[in-house]
Amino acid sequence: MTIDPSTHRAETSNVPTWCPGCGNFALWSALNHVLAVTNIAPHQAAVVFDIGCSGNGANWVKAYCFHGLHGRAVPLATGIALANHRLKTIVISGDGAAYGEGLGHFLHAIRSNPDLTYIVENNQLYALTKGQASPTSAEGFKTVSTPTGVTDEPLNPIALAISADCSYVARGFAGDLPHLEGLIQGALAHRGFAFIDVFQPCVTFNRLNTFAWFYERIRKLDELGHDPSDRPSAWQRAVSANDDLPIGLFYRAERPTLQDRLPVLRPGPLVDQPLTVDLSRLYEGLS
Amino acid sequence: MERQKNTFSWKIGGEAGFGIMASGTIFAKTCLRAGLQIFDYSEYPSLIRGGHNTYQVYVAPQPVRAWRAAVNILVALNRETVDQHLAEVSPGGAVVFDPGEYSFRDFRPAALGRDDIRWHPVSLGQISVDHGGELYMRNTVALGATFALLSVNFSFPAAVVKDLFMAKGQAVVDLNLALLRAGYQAIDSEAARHFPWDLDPLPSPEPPLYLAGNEAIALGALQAGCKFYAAYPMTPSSTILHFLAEHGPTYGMVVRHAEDEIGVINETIGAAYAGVRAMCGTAGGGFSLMTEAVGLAGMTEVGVVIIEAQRGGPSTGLPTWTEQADLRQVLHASQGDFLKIVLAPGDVEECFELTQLAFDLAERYQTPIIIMTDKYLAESHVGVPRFRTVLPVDRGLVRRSEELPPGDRFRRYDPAADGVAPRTLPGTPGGLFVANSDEHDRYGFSEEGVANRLAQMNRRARKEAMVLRGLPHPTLVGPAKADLTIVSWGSTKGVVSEARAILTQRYHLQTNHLHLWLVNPFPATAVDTLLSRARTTVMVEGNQSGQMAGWIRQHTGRQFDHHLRQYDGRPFEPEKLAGQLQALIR
Repeated sequence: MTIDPSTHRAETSNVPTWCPGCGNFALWSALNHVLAVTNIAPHQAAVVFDIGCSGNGANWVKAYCFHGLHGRAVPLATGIALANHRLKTIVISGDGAAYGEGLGHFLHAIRSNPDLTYIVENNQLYALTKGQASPTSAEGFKTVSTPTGVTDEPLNPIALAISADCSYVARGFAGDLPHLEGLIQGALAHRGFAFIDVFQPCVTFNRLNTFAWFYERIRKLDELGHDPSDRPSAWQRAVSANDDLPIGLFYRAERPTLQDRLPVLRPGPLVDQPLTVDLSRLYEGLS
Repeated sequence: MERQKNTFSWKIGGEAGFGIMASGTIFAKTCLRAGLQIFDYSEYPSLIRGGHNTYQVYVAPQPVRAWRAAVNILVALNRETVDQHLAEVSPGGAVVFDPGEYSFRDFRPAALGRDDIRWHPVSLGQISVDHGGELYMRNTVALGATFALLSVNFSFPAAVVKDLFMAKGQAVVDLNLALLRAGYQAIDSEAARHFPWDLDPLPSPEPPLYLAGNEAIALGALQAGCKFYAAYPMTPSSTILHFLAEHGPTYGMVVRHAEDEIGVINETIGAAYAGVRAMCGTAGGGFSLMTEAVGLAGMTEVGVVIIEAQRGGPSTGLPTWTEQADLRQVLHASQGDFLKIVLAPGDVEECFELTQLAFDLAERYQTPIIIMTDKYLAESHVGVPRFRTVLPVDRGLVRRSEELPPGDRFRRYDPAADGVAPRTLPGTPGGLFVANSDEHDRYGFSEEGVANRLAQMNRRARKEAMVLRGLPHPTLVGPAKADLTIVSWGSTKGVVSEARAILTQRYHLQTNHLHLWLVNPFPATAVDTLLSRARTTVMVEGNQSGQMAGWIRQHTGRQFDHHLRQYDGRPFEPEKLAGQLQALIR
């Protein structure tokens, strides 16, 4: 697939500062393209970025972008999605923010199921702070913060999301753009909290999990005959001990969204509701 | 002894879980409906069951602005209440107790050395059981007994009990009324006739609202059109969450009990950025967690309202007690220089009015607004007339699509703006910008250059003078010439006014009072001028280190002649404070 330049929403005056060959370019392209082909106008999207290399993308996406705090992009986005549920709300985070500093928010967002898309650019280390280990770094991986190798087991975000009954769980790969676009398109169409973990090699600091390393291990779930409505099967594939790394849609379920559960939002977005209130009936009950 | 009409202090004590709070509410509401004024105050440990709870209500015909420590009528549901609080009972005071209650076995009042006390043994538990109740419902019987001693018509407490239990069904109402009546009838008319205090209903045109600071803040938020409230439970802020969770949705509000205080404030910032008036609330510990995001709101210029209800610190500290020791943590919250507007309401009315004002300030100046209360203000109830003050809503500078110049990107952070730059709401065509926690240029793009940094820092800093220009100056209450000028901030306002009244009435001493409700930006010129005219000054504040005294000195160079500080978890008390102030004048 080639990208029509007219649909590309990059700022011409503002050039990304990512390293040449960085996996972040792939997600950037995929997101821009999906927003264009799904006819989501720039002003209709709120894209909340975390801190880090992924977070710097706030400067290069044409939308209402919010560059928030490390680990806190999900609650920030939840507030936006509750205040104006007509916006398409998307969160872009890195693995350090999503699975380290902000892990608690991730699990609770899965529980409350706000209608938003959560994309984690997982390069298995901290890149912007110059290459320290992250929660998804392999055990034994040597970095400046772990010179004798990582002592902890890596977190399995896909298994974690499936175990918590996340309503859309997918994994993409920065080396397969059309496939990644399909997952993003599916996430944006999904009603509820749609989570995509993206293998996104860091070409500067990660000499282990390189593009070549991934190409050898990537397997596509749809080619393996996986049924994303089958949660036990999704779990099996997420925790499989062999060296294959499945990508694609692991699990999808229809669950009421946070917005669905709030009758207050039925008349329309909060942001459109009148500010004037008459409290006299409330006062009657307070004497 | 002459019977005192309508001015007395009543206190009930017992084990947590034995209906102490409910009893206090019924007593206070009955007094309000009888046309009197009240100020209540409760003490309770951080426990669900067990532990010692008290609830006291000071009653008077005129507006009451503070609690009173002295107790005229003590209802002791257990022996511990007598042991802990007998010393508070005024000479000639009364104690109602249950001789049949387990802890009162072998109880001999005569051995306590208080011959002046009127002991009223009433078999509260037995009466409860005899009338179809349980032992633990003795509190309702006790209420009936005290209302009989006060010679108030039974219809007043009965109406309150009926309203309070209506939601639980007619059977519950009937049972509670039966217990209340049984307690009422257990007092013989002779005892009532000789009781030193009387509750004599006054005509009341409109029943006042029974409110604590937290409910007044919640009402202020609803009145201001706040549509989003998030919180994580923490005493003494939780009743804002409870009140808004119950009533907020009726007024179009989304109320979120989020996973933690960090989630709470980030959701609130997200909602405010998207264009709704948004608020969150917490206590000192939760505010510590919110700190980083306070800076995010300052940097991205998203106006949010944050309630910081203080309790005794540091750390978990005194979870259910009062203190004013979070001032510096609030003033200095988050790294870097940026404007936080800090308001400190002094009473329930100010809680309502300043919360409304806070939303206007948040949107007009696009910066975080923190309202500081404490356990004493947040949870003590008073009777207030229905609020009439409705501020006209000012949403600040918001640009709609048709007002924007051509192009997709909007100069949201235009350094040429006079402090506050107009904003657009997400969803507005042609209004794109980046809300950026990094330093940023006029469009919000990350930018670390010197010229831009200085332009943005200086633009944001100009807001401070704008806020001061736009708000009323602090004023002195009392005569311009006085023996003593008393300064306080936040909840201490009412205690100081009551103490001043005592000093005037009892000792003919002239004092005046400066209550600081605007803590930041600090109204330095006005405060300096007022203090320069004072003969003798004293700062009264509820912390150990004199946090406000230091803040005033930083801004005015002025030192106080005297300091009165309290940090034992208990609020200042008018009688005690009056004595301390009197000693300063002599």
